Amino acid sequence: MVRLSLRANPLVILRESNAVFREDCLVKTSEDQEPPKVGVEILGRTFQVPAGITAVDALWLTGHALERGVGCLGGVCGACTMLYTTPGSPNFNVGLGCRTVIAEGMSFFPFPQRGRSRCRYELSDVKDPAGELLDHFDRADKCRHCHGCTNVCPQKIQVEEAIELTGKGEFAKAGEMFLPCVMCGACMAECPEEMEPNHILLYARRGFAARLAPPPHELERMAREIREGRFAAEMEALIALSDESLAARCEEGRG
Amino acid sequence: MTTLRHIFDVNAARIVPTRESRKNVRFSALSPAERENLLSSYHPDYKAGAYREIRAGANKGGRTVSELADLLESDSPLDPGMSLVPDHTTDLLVIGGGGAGCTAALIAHRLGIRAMIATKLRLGDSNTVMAEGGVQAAVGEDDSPVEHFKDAVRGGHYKNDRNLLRVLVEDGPEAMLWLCEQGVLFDREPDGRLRVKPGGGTSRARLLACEDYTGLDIMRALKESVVHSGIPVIEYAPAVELLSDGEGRCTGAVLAPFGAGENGRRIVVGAKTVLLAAGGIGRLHFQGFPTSNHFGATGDALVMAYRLGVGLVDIDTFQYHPTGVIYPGFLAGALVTEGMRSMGAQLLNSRGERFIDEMETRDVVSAAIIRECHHGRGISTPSGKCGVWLDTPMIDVTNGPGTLQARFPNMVRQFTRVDLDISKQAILVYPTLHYQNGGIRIDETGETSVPNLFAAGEAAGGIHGRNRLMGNSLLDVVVFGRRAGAAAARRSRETEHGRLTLDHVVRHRAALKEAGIEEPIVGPILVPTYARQRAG
Ligand SMILES: Cc1cc2nc3c(=O)[nH]c(=O)nc-3n(C[C@H](O)[C@H](O)[C@H](O)COP(=O)(O)OP(=O)(O)OC[C@H]3O[C@@H](n4cnc5c(N)ncnc54)[C@H](O)[C@@H]3O)c2cc1C
Ligand code: SF4
Ligand code: SF4
Ligand code: FES
Repeated sequence: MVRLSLRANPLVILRESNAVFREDCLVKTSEDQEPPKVGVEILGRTFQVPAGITAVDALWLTGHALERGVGCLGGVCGACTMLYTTPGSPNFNVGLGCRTVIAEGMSFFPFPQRGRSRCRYELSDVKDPAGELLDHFDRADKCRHCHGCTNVCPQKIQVEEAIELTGKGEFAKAGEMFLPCVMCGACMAECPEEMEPNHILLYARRGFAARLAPPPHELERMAREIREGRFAAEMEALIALSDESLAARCEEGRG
Repeated sequence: MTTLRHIFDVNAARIVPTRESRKNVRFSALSPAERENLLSSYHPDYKAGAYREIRAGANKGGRTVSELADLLESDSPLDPGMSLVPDHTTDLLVIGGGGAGCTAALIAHRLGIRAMIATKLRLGDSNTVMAEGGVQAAVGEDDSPVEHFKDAVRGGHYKNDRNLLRVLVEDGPEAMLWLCEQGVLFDREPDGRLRVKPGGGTSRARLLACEDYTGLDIMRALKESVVHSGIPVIEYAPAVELLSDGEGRCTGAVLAPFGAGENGRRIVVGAKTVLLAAGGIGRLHFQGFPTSNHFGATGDALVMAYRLGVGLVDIDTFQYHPTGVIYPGFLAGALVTEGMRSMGAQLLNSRGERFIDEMETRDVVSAAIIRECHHGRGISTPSGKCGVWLDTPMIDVTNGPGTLQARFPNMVRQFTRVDLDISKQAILVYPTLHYQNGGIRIDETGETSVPNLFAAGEAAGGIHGRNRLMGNSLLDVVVFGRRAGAAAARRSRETEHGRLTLDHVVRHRAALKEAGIEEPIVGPILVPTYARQRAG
C-alpha cells in the first residue's frame, strides 16, 4: 500500500506544535533548541537520540514504523507496553512506551501483550458477583502473595492488595483501586499462579457496577419520564422555533 | 539566560499571591456579538488561507481545510479489477473498534444478528479510551432533555441538525443505563446518588464521570463485553474501501491488514449492512496543530463514505481543545480535561491576568488563548512554544487540599512522571486539534444516503453543529451506536447479500479526472508517518 507522508518530517510538527502562531509570541529564547543526546539500546542495537523524548518517539526516530506497537498515545490503552532496564539495576521494568521518558543507558523492547483471558462470562448472567467469583475465575483463590503483579504494574496499582480484597468480597474497594488499569497484561504475564489478576479485578469492578452499586435511580427516573412523553411538547415547540427565537430562548438567563 | 525554571518562577510571583482573591470569582461572560467577534478573529476555523474549495464529489464547491480536501480528492489504493471473492461474509460489518463500533456490534449481536468488527489497531485502541472528562446526561431534579438540548444547540451555534440532537438528549439517560449494565461504574456521592459535574457551556451540572478515566472505564467494559460474547474481531486490519452492488447499495468492504506490504494481501468482507465507526481526524494535524487523538485518527471513514457518494456535513469546522499541554514536550498535544476548569482551575496570561470565562464553549476559550499569544501576552518556553497558564492549584484552593489528586489521578500521574506537581505548579497549555465537529450525514437511525451503509460516533456529523460540548461525544457514541446497531440488525433481517463491486472507484476516478485533478494522493492514509525512513 502506498502510504503518504503528510509533511516532510511530522515529528517536527509534533514537537514544534505551535508553529502557526508561534511567530506571534513575544518572548523568545534559543536555549534548549538542540537537546543533548543520550544513548539507548533498542532491540539490542544502540542509538543516539535526543534527551527528553519518550520510548515511542525514540522508536520512530530510529526508523521503527510501529504500526502494531502504539494505540492511544495518551497513556491509557497499553498498546505500547515495553520492557526496559536501566543502568543501575539488572531487573526488568514494565512501562508504557508513550509515557516513559528515555534516559542514558536504558535498554528496551516492545512487549505487545494481548492478555486475553482464558475465562468467559456474560455479565448479564452474573447474579451474585462475589459468590460466583470462583465459578468464573477458578484460580482466583490461589494467590501466594509474591508481590509480582504489584511490582510490575506500570499504573502503580496495588494489584495484590486489590486481589485480596476481591477474595474477601470487598468489590467496591477493589474496583476503585483497579480504575487506572490499562489492561497491559503485565500482571498476567508475571503471576506464577496464572490467576489473571487484571481480569479478576475487571470482573470485580464490572460486577460491582452492574449488581452491587447503588442503582442509578436518577437515570431510571429521567428515562421513564422521557418515555412517558413528559418533555415531548416542550421539545417539539423548541425544535419548531426559528433560529432567532431559538437563540433568544437559549441565551435567556445566561451570563 | 531564560530557562523554564526561570519562567515558572517569574510567573509564580504573578500567579501565586492572587489565588485567594481569584477563588470562586466568575470572569464576566461575553455577549453573543463578542463571542462571534473573538471567533472570527482568532479561531483556526476562520483562517482563510488554511481552507480551499473541494473540486469533486458530493461536497463539490464546499470548503474544508486543505489537508482534508486533498484526502477527499484522493485516489483509491485498490485496483477495481481485483478479485472480490469474499474471505468473510457477515450480516453486519462494523468498521472501527472504538466506543461506537463496540456498542453497535453488541446491540446487533444481542438481537441475534451476526456482527463482525474490523479495526485498525487493537480492539479498543481509540479516542474513546482516552476520554477523561465525562459524559452528559440530564439527571438532576432541575434538569431535563430540553435544557440539555438548549445547551448543545447554543454550543453548536444553532447549526445542529435538530432532529439528531433531539435523539441525542432524549436517548441519553437510557443509553447511560445501558452502560451501567455493561459494568461502567460512574462516580457517586457519599449517599449513593450519581455525582454530576458542570461542563463548559452547560447550564446544569450533568457530567457523569469515572474520575478522569471515564473513557477507559467505558472502553474496557465494552471491549470485555465484545470479547466475552464471541463477536469476531479482526485487528490490525483497517478498511480501505467500501464495496457496493453497483446499484447504490453498500455490500461490504475491503481490509488491508498491516504488514501485508505493497499490493499485499487484502481481506474482502461481504456484508448485508456496514457501519462506519472509524472515528476522527486529529492525526492529520490540520494547520500544523498538535493533537489529542489516538494514532489511527486519520479520517478514513470520511474518505471511504465520500467515495461512495455520501455527503459530509460541517467539515469546515473542527474542535481545537483549549487546554493541550505544551510542556513538557513529550506530552505535547495531550489533553488536560475541561473538568479541571469546571472545578476551579483558571486561565492566566503572562501578566497573571484572567482573560476569558473558563466555562465558555471550547471554541471561544481556544480563540481567547490564541488571542493572548498573538498579542504577546502568552508565555514562551525555551523550545519556542507559546501558551498560557492553566492554574491547576486553584482546584485545591477552591475545593480543599487533596481534591486535585482525588478527582484527577490520571492527570496528576502524567505529570509526576516528570516530577511536576500540578497541585503546586500551574501548567502551560495551548489549543490542540481534538474533534471533528461534523462528518458523515446520517438520519435518526444512523443510516447514510447510501442504503445499508450506517455511520455512528465521531465519524458521523450533524449532531453537534459547529462546536461540540464536553461530554456530548461519548454520549453520541453510545446513543447512535445503539441506534445504528439496532437499525442495521433490522435491515440485515430483510436483506440478502448483494454483488460485490468497486464500480464506485471507477466513477470516482472519472470525477477526479473531469475536475482536472492530476496525481491525487492515495487515501485513506491509515497512519501518520512519524517514523523516520531507516537509512540502510
Ligand atoms: C483525549 C480525548 C479526550 C476526550 N474526552 C472526552 C470527554 O471527556 N467526553 C466526551 O464526551 N468526549 C471526549 N472525547 C471525544 C470522544 O472520546 C470521541 O469523540 C469518541 O470517543 C469517538 O468514539 P468513536 O467510537 O466514534 O471513535 P474511536 O473511539 O476513535 O474509535 C474509532 C476506531 O476505529 C478505528 N479505525 C480508524 N480507521 C479505521 C479503518 N480505516 N478501518 C478500521 N478501523 C479503523 C480506530 O483505530 C478506532 O479503534 C475525547 C477525545 C479525546 C481524544
Ligand atoms: S493491573 Fe495489570 S493489566 Fe492493569 S495496568 Fe497494572 S499490570 Fe497492567
Ligand atoms: S502475581 Fe499472582 S500470586 Fe503473585 S501476588 Fe499477584 S496475584 Fe498473587
Ligand atoms: S499508546 Fe496507548 S498507552 Fe501508550
